[in-house]
Amino acid sequence: MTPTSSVRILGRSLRMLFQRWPVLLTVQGISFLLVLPVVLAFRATLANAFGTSPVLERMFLEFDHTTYADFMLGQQEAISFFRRTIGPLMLVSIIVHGMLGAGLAVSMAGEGTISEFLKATGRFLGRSFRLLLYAVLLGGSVMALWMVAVGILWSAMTSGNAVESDYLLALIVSGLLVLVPVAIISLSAEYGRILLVRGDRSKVFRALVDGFTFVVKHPLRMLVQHGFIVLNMLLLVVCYWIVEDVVGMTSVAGVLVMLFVQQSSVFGRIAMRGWHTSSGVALVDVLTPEVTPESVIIPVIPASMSAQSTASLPFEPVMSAPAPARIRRAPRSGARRPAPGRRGTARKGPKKR
Amino acid sequence: MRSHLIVGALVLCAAMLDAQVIFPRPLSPRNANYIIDVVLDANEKTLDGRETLIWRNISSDRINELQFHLYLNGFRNTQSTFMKESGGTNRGLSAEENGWGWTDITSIRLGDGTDLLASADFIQPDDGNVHDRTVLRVPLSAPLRPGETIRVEITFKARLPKVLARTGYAGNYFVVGQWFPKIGVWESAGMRGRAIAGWNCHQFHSNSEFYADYGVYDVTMTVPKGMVLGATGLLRSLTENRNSTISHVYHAEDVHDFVWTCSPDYQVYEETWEHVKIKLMIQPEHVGTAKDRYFQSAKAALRYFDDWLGKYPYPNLTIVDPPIYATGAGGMEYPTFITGGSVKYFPAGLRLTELVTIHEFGHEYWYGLVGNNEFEEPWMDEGFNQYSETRIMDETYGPEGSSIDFLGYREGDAASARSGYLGMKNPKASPIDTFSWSFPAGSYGGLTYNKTATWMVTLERLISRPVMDEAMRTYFERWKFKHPGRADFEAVVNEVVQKHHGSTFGPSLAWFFTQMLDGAEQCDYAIGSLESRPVARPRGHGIDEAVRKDETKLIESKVVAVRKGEVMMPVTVEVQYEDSTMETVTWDGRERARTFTFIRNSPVRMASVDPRRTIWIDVDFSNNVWTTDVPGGSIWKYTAKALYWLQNVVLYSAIL
Repeated sequence: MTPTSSVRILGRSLRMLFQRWPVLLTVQGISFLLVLPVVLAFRATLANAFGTSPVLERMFLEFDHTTYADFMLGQQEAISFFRRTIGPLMLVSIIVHGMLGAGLAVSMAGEGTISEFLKATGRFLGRSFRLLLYAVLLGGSVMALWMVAVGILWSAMTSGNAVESDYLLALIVSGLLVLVPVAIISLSAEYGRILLVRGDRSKVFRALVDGFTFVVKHPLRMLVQHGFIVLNMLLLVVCYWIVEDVVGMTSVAGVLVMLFVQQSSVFGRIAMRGWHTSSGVALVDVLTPEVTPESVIIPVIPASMSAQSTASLPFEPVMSAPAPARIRRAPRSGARRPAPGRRGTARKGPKKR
Repeated sequence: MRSHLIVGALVLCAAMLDAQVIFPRPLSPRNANYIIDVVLDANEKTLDGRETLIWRNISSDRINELQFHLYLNGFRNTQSTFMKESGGTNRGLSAEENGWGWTDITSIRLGDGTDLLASADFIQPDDGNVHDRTVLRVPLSAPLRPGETIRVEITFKARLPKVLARTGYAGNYFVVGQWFPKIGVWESAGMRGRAIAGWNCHQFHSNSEFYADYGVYDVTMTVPKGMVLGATGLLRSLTENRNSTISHVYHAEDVHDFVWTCSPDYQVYEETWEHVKIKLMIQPEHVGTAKDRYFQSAKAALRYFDDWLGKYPYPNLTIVDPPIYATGAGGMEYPTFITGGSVKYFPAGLRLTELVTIHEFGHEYWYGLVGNNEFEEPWMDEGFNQYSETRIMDETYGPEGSSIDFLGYREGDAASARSGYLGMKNPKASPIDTFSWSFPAGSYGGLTYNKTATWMVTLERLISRPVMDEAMRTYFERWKFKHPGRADFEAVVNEVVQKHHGSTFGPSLAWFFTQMLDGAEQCDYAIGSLESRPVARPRGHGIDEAVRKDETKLIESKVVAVRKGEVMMPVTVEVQYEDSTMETVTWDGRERARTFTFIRNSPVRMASVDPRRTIWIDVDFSNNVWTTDVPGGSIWKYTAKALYWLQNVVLYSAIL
């Protein structure tokens, strides 16, 4: 196991994540506020639909297909409102979470306070939106072409007298083929965002391209690191299903318990999102510690020796090579906390005499 | 000695001939009998056939012409009625350019050699589409008198269509249905409410294809060696020919159609249920998933129908499992032969195979044994069968999840049929009693199958299951191997209901059938309001002293029951008081609203109209009950669920 193994990075980023729970809670709050209007409208619909009907009691105790079907048929307008809302809500969510991503990346690298998170989100708002836009446009174009290719492949695999195993194979192959560009585009956006805030870049598209380059240069690390987080995410969903089944929701106490479990599960989902970011930040730090993609280099031209001379020196000056260019690091929104276990190694250099 | 030998030989011959007979005594009139010899060219997908029809005029009419179904012509081109109605797509498959199918008659002669082809022509009795060639009229040189038998020799060449619907080929899989020239049904005046005697021989339609007379079939099918073959009836002999083909001879009695299938891929399994040998011809890839499910559901259906209506008379049942690339040939019914449907990897909780098998077996009764007219009264075919299916499915697999019991989602078959009717784009599109091809687009299945099943459940709950069972059993016994119509069914139901309920439901159930079959309106009863208030004590001059001093506090509760739909049904209104006692009143359901007043020392807590869901055709049960206690917990339960799923939707969608 090398010092920069994915396991170490995952562990380090997880510790980093746990220290930033207030930020995660803030993201959860924002997500909650995002869906709240639709949920309240749904609740009103339910209440209006059933009024004081004890049919609700039946629905409280168990799923009843007939009651459910009658409700769905009887409340077409409300149901269609609900359905109509999902699409725009998803769109808004993509934008909001895309823009929160920059704040998340900054707080994973910085102090991790809520104010830092919010300030960074505000500071990178415009650039985050542009990055999201580029990612959508680029991803959309790539996906459109890709889907045509996958469609042709699907047709070829299921042409003629194909049986179920052919369809299953085609489904798996197509699924994987669709998943690969989706994952690459998604990770490119994530790493583009990390690079954007790390270097405080102004060229957003360049950051996205660099993010893409970073992702395709380290496919194995991407697979291990982010694949592991996705597995955890799936585990979280399975755990929720099991718990929901065990607790049930046939009493007010059961509903309250489940509400707590649900929100914990949502928190877990947000934590996984944060884990993607924190592990990305850690990975970029490890693999490109000296890279400052858009550092402002201010060349310092040495003045002539005569101009530098003020008085005769008691000893001969030692002439050496011209002074190196001074690198001004991008300003950070907060002091960067050295990563645990890596203290003193990131800036290791020759000791000053 | 010689005489003994002759007698012995005669006895042997008689015994052998007897072995050829399935039923010692005919079960049906057997007026349409066929001897067919057909050769399949598996490469060209063609049939070369010779047919002898022996048809007896069992009516009292003189018949001047014959009419034949030539249903493969439904696949001839895009101008056929079938193609126009279906738009060239059916069951998820589309007509392919090289997949056309047709039948060409090359000769029709009487037994004495008289040619009938020259004067034959195609007719289009249903829609006047001159391009449709699915019905052939053959004028006779001399009228056929009552009781006379005619022998017609026909030769034909046919090409099977690429499987689109019901029949055809797909690769080396063949289901050969509607393939031979089949005579229509001569109906006398009065039969099934008919005013004038005539042929009942409809064109091949997208929605329907069955109505024929019963008879005996002796069919020889010659197919390439290596093909596994199954057909209506029983296998009599196999002959290997010199040209690498095998001739399979099948014999069937008291059936009104003949179908066969062949493929080299079939795996064949056999099991027995009482007197019935069940033969399963299954695709190899489906054996693991579906073999037991086919047998188990077929046995469940056999057992149920046997107990419910009467014996399945045939000694065999063939179940054919189509490959997934020929699903258009799945879910079909023919005498002693059904095609099912299965998908590899399909979870056990999604009971597709069971549902299709039970449904298609049901057709052995509703159209097979009781020879209803699917074209003109499809509800007596598909509707009765859907009702039968819901009963068998719900009793075999449990009413709550007989159709689907998967990942916590449960749906019973009767509930599924009701949803199928209510969930239609327009449940009021047409009355049920409509010719199959006259239904507005997209409404045939919902109304013919599902609405009929739903009103039959309603009828069953109104008159009670034992009475319904007796009515169905009487109808079956009285009309098996015959051609009943709506009036015949109604007469049986009226007779049995009168016997058990007297005039409880009026002089007849015409009010019920008229609303269900001739109307398109819906039924919806609801509780409009529930109010309770203390009864004011009498005051003033002339009040009896005992009444004045009475300390009993009485509560008056008023329940308003409402008829929101047009359909009227007798219903019960049930109330539950605060002290948990119950009271029930009946309502004929005719008025738009009816107020019921209850005076007790306890207020009414809950009121419900039709609390036991007797009127299964009620389109909204959620408005049938009213309570003064608002159960808010369940609203929060579903709100919490919605909140959780929405949060997940927005989080999982935020991948960029």
